[in-house]
Amino acid sequence: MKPIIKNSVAIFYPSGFLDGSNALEIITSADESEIISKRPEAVFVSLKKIIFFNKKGISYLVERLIFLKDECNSFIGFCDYDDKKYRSLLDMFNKNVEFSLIESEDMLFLFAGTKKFDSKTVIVYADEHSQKNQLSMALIERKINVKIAQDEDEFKKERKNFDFIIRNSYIGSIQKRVCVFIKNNIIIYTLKGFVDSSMSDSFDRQYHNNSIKVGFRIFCFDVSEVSSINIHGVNFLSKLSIDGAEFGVSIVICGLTSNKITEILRQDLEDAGILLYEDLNSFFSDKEAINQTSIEVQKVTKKVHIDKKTVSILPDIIDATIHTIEVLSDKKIVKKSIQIQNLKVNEKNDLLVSVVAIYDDIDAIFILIMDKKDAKEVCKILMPKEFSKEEFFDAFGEFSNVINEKIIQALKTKHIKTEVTMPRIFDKISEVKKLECTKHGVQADFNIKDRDMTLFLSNN
Amino acid sequence: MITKNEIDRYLDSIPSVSKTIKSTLLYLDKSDMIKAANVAKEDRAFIEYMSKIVNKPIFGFRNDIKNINQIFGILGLARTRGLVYSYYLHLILPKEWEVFRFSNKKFQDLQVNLIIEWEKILSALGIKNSDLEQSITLIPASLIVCEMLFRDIKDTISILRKRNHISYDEILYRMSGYSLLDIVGQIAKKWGFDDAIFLFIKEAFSNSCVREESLYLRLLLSYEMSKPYIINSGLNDFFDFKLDFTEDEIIKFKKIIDMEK
Repeated sequence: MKPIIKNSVAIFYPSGFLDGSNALEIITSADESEIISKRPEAVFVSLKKIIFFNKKGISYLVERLIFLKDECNSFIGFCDYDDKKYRSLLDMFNKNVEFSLIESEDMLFLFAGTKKFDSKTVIVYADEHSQKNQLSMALIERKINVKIAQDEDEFKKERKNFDFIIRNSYIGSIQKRVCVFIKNNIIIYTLKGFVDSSMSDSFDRQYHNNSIKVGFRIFCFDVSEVSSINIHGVNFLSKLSIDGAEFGVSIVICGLTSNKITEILRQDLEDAGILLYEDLNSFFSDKEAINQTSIEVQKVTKKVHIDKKTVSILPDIIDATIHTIEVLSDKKIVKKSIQIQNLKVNEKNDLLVSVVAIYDDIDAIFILIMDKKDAKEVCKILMPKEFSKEEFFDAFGEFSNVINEKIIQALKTKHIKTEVTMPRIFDKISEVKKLECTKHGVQADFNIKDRDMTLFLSNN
Repeated sequence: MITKNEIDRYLDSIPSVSKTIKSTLLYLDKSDMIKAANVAKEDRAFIEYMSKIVNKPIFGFRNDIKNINQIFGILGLARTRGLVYSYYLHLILPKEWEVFRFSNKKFQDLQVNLIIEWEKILSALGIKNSDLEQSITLIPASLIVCEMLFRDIKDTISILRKRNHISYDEILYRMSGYSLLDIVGQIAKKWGFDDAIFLFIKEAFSNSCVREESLYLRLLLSYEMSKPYIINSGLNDFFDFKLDFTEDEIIKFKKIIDMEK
C-alpha cells in the first residue's frame, strides 16, 4: 500500500479489518524503500477507516515502523483514532510503547512536517504527568504556542479557547523491560505476575548497576501487582541488596502483603537489609528513609581515563543539549572551552546537576550542570506556576530525558546502539564530585547569558 | 479530465446481454431450472464461466463439475440467478487491468466471495428476499467502471493520489459530477436489472441508511476489501462510506462469516 508523503510526513491509510494476514501488505518492502529514499520526518498509520484491529496486525506494523524509525530517524506511530481505539492500543502494549499516538491527522502536522502553525494555539492535557510534559515539549520544540492544563478541570474550562486540543495523544519512547520510573531521585521498579527464577533474566542488571554509578542510592520495588514471590525471587532481591551494600544502596519493597510471601521468606528479605513498606505512599511519607541518599566516596581501584570512542560522541551530546536548551529558553548559548580534565565547576554557584549513564556500544557517564535560574527557565513549561523543590527536580529530570532521547536517536543514525539510565538529579556539586566518573573526562563549558553551563563526559 | 461525454461513450460501448442469457433468466424467474439450463447450453462462454466459478475452492466441491444441468442443480435457484447476474459483469471485464494491479481471476474471486458471504449474512439475519440476494452481484461493477474510465489518465491519477488521500469516487465526482454508483446504476438499467436491486445498493451506501442489512453490507465490503490480494491490488480504500459500527455489530459480523476460524 503506497503511503501519501506530504510536508515531510508519510501516512498509510489502510481500511476495514487489520490482522496478521493483511498487515504484511500495508507496509511492504517496496514502501519501505520509498520512505527510506525520502526520509520523511514522520511515518504514521492512519486508523480512521479501520473498523477492527488485533494485536498481531498492529504488532507487525509497529515492527515495520520501528525499522523505519531506525533507518530514517523518523517520528513514528498511529493517528486518527477514537477514544476506544486509543485505550485499546495502550492496553495492548501495557503502555510500553515505542511508537506515538496522535489523535488526528491535523494534530500530527503539529508534531512533524513542514506545515506552519504560527498563529494557532494548542492546549495539552494527559492523565499521566510525564506524558503531558512530553507532548508539550515536543510542541514547544516546534515553536508552537502551548498551554499545559494543570488538571482536568482547567482543561475542560479552557479548551474551548484553543485551536487544537491535545487530549488522547501519547509520545512513545524506548522503555525499559521492567517498568521503571523515578520519583525524588528514587528508582521505582514495578513488578507484575510471579517473582521467581525468571526475574534474573528479565531484570536489566546493567541498567541497575549503571544507575548506581550515576548516584542513585535507593531502589524501590513496587510489588502491589505481584501475585506471589518464591525463594528464587527472594534470593535474587537479597543478592541485589547485598551487592549494593558497598555503595550504600538501599533496596525497598512496597506492597508485599502476607498472601504473597511466606513468613520465613519475608524474614530472609529483612535479614538481607531490605526495607519493607505497606505501599508506595507509606514509603514516601517516611522522610527519614528517603533522605538517606548521600553518596559514599567510592573506593578508587583504578582510575578510568576517557577514551577516543567516548570523546567522539561529544558533538552529538553538545548538539542535542544546546538545541533543547535554546528551544526551551530562547536564549543563545556561547561555547567557552572544551578540555580533558577532572570535573571543575565554581562551587559557589547555585547549581542543578543531572547525571546519566550511557551504555551498550558506548560506556559513558554524561553530566549536565546548569545554574538553577537557567534550569528553572528550561523547566518552566514542565512545572505548575507554584512548584515544590521535588516538582522542580522531577521537571529537570524530564528535561534531561528529552536530551537523552535525542542523544540515543542521533547515535542510532551513526549505527551506535545505546541505552541511557534515568537521570540522577543533584543540587549539591560536592555530592557529584564524590562520583568516580568525575575524576577524568572531557569538559565542555558554555555561557548562557553570563551564567555557566557545563557538560562533562567520562568513561563509565 | 473525465467528461460527461466520455462517460456516455463508455456506457454506449457496453455490450447488451445475449438473448440466450435473457431467456435463461426468464426461466429462472419462473423457477424452471431444467428449461433454464437447456437454454443456457447455447451460450458456450456462459457455460465456461459458470464452470470456472462453481469449481472455485470456496464452493467446496471435490470433483470438477462441467455439466450445466448439474451446475444449476447444485447451486440452486438463488445462487444460479446471482451468478447469471455476475456473468453480466464478465461481459465488460477488461482484458488487462491497468489502473489497478488486478486480474480477472482476482475479480472473479471477489465476486464469488461476496456472493457466499452475503448469503451467510442474509441467512443469519433471517432475511429472504431475492432482490437483496442479487444486489451483491452489481457492486463489483464499480471496480470495472473505475478501471475503464481512469485508464487513459492513470498516470495523473496516480500522482494525484500519491499526494492526497482522495478516493477514486471523489476524483470522478469532482471531474464529471457523477459517482461510480451513478454509472453502475446506468449499466444496471441498460441490462434490465430489477430497479429494487440497484435502489438497495444506493441506499446502503448513503449516510442516512439505517437498515440492518445495509450496515452488514458495508461491513462485508470493508472485510473483503481488507484481504491481502485486494490491498496488494491498490483497492483497499476503494469504497468510501460511513464506518460507524458498534462492537456488538462487529462481533456478530465476525461470527457470521466465521472470521476467527
